Amino acid sequence: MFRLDSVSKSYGDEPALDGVSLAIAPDDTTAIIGPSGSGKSTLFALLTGLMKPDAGVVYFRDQDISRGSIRELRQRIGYVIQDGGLFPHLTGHANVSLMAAHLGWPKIKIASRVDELLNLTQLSPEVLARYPAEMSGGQRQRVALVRALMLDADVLLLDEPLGALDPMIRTELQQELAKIFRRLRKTTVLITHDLAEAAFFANRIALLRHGRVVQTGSISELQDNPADDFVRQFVRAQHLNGAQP
Amino acid sequence: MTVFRAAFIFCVTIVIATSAFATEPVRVGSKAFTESVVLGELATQLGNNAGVPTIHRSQLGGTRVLWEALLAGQIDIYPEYTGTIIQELIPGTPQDAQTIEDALRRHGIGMTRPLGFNDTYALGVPETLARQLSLRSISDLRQHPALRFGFSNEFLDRKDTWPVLKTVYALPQSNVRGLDHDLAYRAISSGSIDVMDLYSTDAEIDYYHLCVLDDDRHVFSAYEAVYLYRLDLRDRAPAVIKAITRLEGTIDASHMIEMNALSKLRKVPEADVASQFLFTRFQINSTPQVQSMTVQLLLRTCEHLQLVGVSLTASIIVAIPLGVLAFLWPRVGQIILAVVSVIYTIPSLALLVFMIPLLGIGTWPAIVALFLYGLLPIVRNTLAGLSGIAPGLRESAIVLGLSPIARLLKIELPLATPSILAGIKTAAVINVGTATIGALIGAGGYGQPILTGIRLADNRLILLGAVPAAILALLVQGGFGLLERCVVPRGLRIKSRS
Repeated sequence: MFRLDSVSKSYGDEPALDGVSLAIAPDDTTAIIGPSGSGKSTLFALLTGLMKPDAGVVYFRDQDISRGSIRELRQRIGYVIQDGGLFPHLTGHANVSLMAAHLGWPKIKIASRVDELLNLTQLSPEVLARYPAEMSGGQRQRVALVRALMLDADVLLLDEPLGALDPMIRTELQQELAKIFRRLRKTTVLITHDLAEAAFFANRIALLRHGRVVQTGSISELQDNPADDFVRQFVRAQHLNGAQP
Repeated sequence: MTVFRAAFIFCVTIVIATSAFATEPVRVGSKAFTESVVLGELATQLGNNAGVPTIHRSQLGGTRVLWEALLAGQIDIYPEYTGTIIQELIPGTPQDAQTIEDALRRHGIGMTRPLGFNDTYALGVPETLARQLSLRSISDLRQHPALRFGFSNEFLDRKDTWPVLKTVYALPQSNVRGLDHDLAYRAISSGSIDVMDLYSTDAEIDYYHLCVLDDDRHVFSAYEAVYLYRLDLRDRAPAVIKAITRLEGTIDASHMIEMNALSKLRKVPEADVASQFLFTRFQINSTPQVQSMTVQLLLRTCEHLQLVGVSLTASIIVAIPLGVLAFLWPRVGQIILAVVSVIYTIPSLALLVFMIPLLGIGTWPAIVALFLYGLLPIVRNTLAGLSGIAPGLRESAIVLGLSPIARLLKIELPLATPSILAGIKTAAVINVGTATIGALIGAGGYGQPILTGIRLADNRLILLGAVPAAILALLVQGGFGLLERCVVPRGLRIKSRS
């Protein structure tokens, strides 16, 4: 779906990504993981076209995203960030239907799509009548997910989607999201710093360090055949934190 | 948005309603001190008595304002003094009447013959102090370097007054302050200054027991009162010129001091003072129009609301797009901010005087000045509101795929509304206060009674302007509280649960 070809990006003299090549497989979940400062967020900004690479090319469905309409591309991407990124001045419903209304969908079509997604996310319609400030953290994330899915995007980009939640809700929502993703079978890219979460959602994990991809593979490949000492230490440290993949 | 539209329609209605009163009568102007107002009133009543509709735009600031307004055709007549004409208006002219008239004619201006009194400058000290230090002439001041001088700003700056006086008499005093002439009387009677400048026909000289110091070196030139008028009046309203020339040589110094005293000290309205004089002198029965206090307050309120409403609406319409531009193109933004900041620092009276040649006097220059002052707070707050949006939200809006315009209209501007509204509120409150200055160029409003009150040392009149202005400022403040509920999206007003 996405393919990065020797992509580099630096801020001033500080390299954030250094010749990264990575392919995101379709209809599957890929987790991008790494300590903070490893270049995860930069990678995301490149996928959404918020930034342009200094060198290399980012392809979406074999098309260079720096050519052609970036807005059309974005409408095919669903995007959820840490605390949801819901617009505080709009109700949940207005947030969710913003793009559809902007594209001129008829009301009936919007209503039926919202119903469908509420079903999928187990969200009650009354939550959508609220403003983001009136929702709980978990509700906000679910509404943000509904917004991301509204246009039936080809790919979902999730940036630490559970990062702002407390552990109890986090575990609960994790289970639910996993269920939703299994039903959707959508290409999903998840950014996280938590190996357990990455393993929970994704079949493929790309581990980043200092702007380079150190290893790509399943969690068992990372555990059993670490590419270097860093991978070994990273996996072990996350285990010590009590996470069970 | 409907709120803004309603406000706009309201303001436009006020403008149309108030300008409907404007026909084309002869307009007499006067400076912001009592004698000038009385002389203006005399000319106005004589004009009306001659059957020509004549109105009085009283107390329009100082010489510059009146002269520019006369040249621009905003007023047709105003009382002036020969000394001022020679020194300030047509400098470098020899002092004989014919040359002055010729010089004025080149500007399209005519001059009557002197009205009969010389209102020259003088220096005054309290009688007790004069006795104590045996001060009789200005030369005597040289022996007392510690004396505190309080002079009107015009006196300090004119070429023929303080700068000359200081050199000719070699005065050593260093404590010299500029203050309003009417306030100087209060200052000298309360003992905060020792010496002030006087006009020789001031009624307060007696009232405050001041001793006039002899100008033993003859520095002050003659200030004979005359009327200046536009020469085109000869075709438009010759009867008015004929009427005011009746006053030539009829008002001697004692008459003028008496009229000043009636008006300033006994609080007789200038219109009544003038009609009394016209009756005793010419047996003319003129009935001055005096409005009741309620009508006046209503009129002033309308004028003030017009000034604030129209200027604020214009500021909003211009400043919000400027703020957006500044946000979108930071480099352009720096220029925009620099320009509106510089405008904001121009003193209001200076800005008003700059605008007289372009817009004349009255409502419009005041509205334009207020509009310009309103730009800075709104531009700055629009920019701050837009720049203050959380990066995550801005990115979300971009990644959703909204077009830049949709992003601005649906996401960024709504998120910035609390800040923009705060800017508009600041501009509105500042405008309510600043609009009082408009009275100096004939824009009316609450500044009018304040100005008159300062001139007549009448606290009641000052309060009549200051209290409604303060109330209006509070109402504006409160009104914006209500407006916030309508305009700021509800989602931005509630506190987050987590």
